[in-house]
Amino acid sequence: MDEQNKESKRVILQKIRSATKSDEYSHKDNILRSRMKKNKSTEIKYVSNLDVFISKLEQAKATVSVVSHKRDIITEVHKYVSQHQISSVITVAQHTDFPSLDWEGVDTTTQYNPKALSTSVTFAVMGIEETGALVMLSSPSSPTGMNFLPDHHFIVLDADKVVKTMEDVWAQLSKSGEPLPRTINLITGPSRTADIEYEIQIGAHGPKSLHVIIVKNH
Amino acid sequence: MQPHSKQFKSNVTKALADPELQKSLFTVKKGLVENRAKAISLVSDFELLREKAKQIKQHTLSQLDYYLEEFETNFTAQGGQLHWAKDASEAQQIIVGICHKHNAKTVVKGKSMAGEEISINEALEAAGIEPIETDLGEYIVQLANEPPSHIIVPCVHKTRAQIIELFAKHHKKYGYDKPLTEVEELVLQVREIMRSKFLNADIGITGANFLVAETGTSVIVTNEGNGDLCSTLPKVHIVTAGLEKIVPTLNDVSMLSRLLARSATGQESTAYTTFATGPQRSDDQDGPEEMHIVLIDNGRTDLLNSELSEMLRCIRCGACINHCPVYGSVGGHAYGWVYPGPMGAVLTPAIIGLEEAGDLPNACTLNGRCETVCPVKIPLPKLLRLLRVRQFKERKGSMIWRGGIQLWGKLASYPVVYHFLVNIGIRLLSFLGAKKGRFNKLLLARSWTQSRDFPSPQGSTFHSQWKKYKKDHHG
Amino acid sequence: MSETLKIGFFVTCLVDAMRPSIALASIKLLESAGCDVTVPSAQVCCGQPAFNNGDIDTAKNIARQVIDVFEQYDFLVAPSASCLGMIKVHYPELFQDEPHYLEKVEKLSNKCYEILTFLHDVLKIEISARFDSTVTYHDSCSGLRELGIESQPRQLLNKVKGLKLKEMKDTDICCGFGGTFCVKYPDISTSLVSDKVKNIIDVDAKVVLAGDLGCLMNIAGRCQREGKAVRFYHTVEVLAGMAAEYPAIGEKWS
Ligand code: SF4
Repeated sequence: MDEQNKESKRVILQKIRSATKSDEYSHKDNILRSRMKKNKSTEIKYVSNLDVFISKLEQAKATVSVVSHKRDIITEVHKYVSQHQISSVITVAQHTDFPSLDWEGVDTTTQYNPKALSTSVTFAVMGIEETGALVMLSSPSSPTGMNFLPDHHFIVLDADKVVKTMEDVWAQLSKSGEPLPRTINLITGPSRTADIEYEIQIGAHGPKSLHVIIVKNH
Repeated sequence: MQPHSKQFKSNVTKALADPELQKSLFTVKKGLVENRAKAISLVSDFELLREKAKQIKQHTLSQLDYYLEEFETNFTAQGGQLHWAKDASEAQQIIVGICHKHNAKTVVKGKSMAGEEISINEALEAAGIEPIETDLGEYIVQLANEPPSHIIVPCVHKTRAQIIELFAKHHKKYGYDKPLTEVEELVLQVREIMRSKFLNADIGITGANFLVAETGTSVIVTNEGNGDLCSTLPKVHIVTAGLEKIVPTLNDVSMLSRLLARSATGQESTAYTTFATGPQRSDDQDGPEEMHIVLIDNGRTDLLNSELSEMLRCIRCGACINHCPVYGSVGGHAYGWVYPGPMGAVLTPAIIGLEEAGDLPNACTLNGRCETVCPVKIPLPKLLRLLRVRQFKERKGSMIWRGGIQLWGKLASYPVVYHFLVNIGIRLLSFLGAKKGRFNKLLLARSWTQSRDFPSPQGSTFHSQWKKYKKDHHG
Repeated sequence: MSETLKIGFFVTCLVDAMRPSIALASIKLLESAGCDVTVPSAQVCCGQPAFNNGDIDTAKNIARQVIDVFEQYDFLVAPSASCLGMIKVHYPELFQDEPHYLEKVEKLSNKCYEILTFLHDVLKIEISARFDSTVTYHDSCSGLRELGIESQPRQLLNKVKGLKLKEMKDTDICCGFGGTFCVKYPDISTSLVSDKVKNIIDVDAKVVLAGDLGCLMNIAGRCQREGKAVRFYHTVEVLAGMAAEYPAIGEKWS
């Protein structure tokens, strides 16, 4: 850390301490650390009836279909692209829950090229009932750009992975003890803006459509 | 941005006479207010959420030094670089420095009020670097060479027709010459123009809604997806954030985000909530190679040390602005700096000083609607009053008012004299007004009668009538 | 109630000067419910103008006067939510740094009432008045938000024979009066009060009632300037059946 940065830090912290009348914090370390720990709920609340979750996604202008086998994912994508006359190559992310999807019949690639990415399929690790959010983790085989660059975005979610609240997500992620991935995206619907005359317009800088495929008992 | 809050009065006159602006402001007064009300009616106990949110922010402020250092430890452990900036110029210098180090020519920007506060665009331009606003609203005000007029909807003061005109003028150079009419077309055009900017920019700058101490994570809450492209594609990502953005844990973010979108736009949740922790990991295919966070003080520690410290709970949702009748009639530009409405009337003097902020603390009827909607229960009217106390103590503001109030106070401490004098005045006024029952011009109340009639009193004061009544009835 | 309640009536400086009939109507209602009403003559103002303009010393001096004069009564009652908000909510704030005096302040704060809430919540008064008209009620901001007065005036008005209450739009938005605000920022104030007038005209009410004379003068003044034939009374004038005895605000004795 350079000198100026150190000095600014010193000045700022000192001003804070004189405002809050607190000393160097060492003595409060334990108290505050336990506040952080205590906040982690231990019991993770999964949701079995997905009606609320799905309706939240639909409210946010995502489309949702529920399939009962993982091979149906491909059928579903295929159906959607032909219905919407999407002809581009589909960039597909990798996910450990769905290691060997056979994309026969659909023009796909696993090569990530930000400059040419108009349709993608990525995999959510969880869903959040409270907000209809899909939880996306960045990884070498699932770069963040795949969630934001395409015009059309498919997200696949295991039906057993929908939890009640955002807090449940943190509880689940903290189980591994690993640091968080570089990026976590909570995604509820396609991108939108209301900046012009407060008229909601779907499709701003991110995807113009989001189709969520929920897989039951895969 | 150079503040011109001192000209509030003349800004107001201009704003009230601008029919386009008045039309646009209707959006805020109606759309945003109604949407919020609807979103909140769907929550079972919103009041409880507000109380919890307030507690989280208040607790964090009380231990701010600890959480900031905790954040620094965890963020740097993930390879992030944290910069402490005492004021706007130091923040500018840090950011321009990073840009120069990477020979940056263009910077794509997500919406950041802290960025506005430190005039980062001006600083970048002065250094020969092109800042490109990518949030649609920010982009529009950048084209118009104006500051944002609202912290959530930056171009709320612009009508569609004005935007169409702006795009026609500025988008010719990209080969667009077909005149547009629909919002959809306007949005699409910007999307197309921006895509190559995102892909080719050297640096991305975004704000942050929260900085999480526990994990060293920076959180943004957005709808357009531009912020994510800014923080994902360029090889350097810089976050500008006021130091009050810190919260202890991810669970605290969860709680606060329940209030943020509902209060801001009336959404249950925005389209995107993104948690970024450090630069890209070793095998990642995208994400910035460097992630910097510029932690900005710029008056905040002084605010913490003052009677206005509760203002630091603000999560910049804009609800107080949307519900402010004064903002609703004059819009954001009248306030003359970055933050408008009630939160601006407190923050502006707190950050740039009472002298520069002019009369903003008085630009309020103290109707209190803002306080009832603030998700972190900031007592905005009380803070504005405290600023007026400061003004009074520092002998700022109108001397005539000052003298008038003090004279009134003196008189009030001699009730007999007061009642005698007022009764004379009232008798006179009643005599003059008896014929019509009201005045349409009164020399002593010109500001009143310029737009309102003034009623005639009822002959004499109550106290003199009461004396008489008691004599007659009770003996 | 068995014991006679001793009421110290706080007239407010605006009612004293501009519309004594509001105080007379209040006292009539209080006495008709069996209260023993006193109007101490050593009262002037609640100090709000000084308080809201940052002059804490003046505000405190005036507050002390009010507190000392009114502590002897069972209740302080005033025909204005704005002044009552000052006494009930802000007096305790003013004396935070004087703990020995604060006790006295808080005692008064706990026994002071705005007239309409007092009539409704404490006296549970019967209303025998008649008023044949369509009226709309304007909530003052201090009444609504500092004191939570919303249902009481409406419930009282619903007991008035012949009276039809219609709700206008945006009842929670300020009329632009704001005490000294309306003369410091007349343009903004005018813009706000014009919106209010529009809502009144839209609801097609013949009479506007409210619990604060400041708002009433502001809205009436604007309405009359715009040439709209709407009449304005304080709510108690109607409840006491005295509206017919006095010209409405800004109207002449006929
Ligand atoms: S003061 Fe409260 S309502 Fe206003 S922007 Fe800040 S958090 Fe939102």
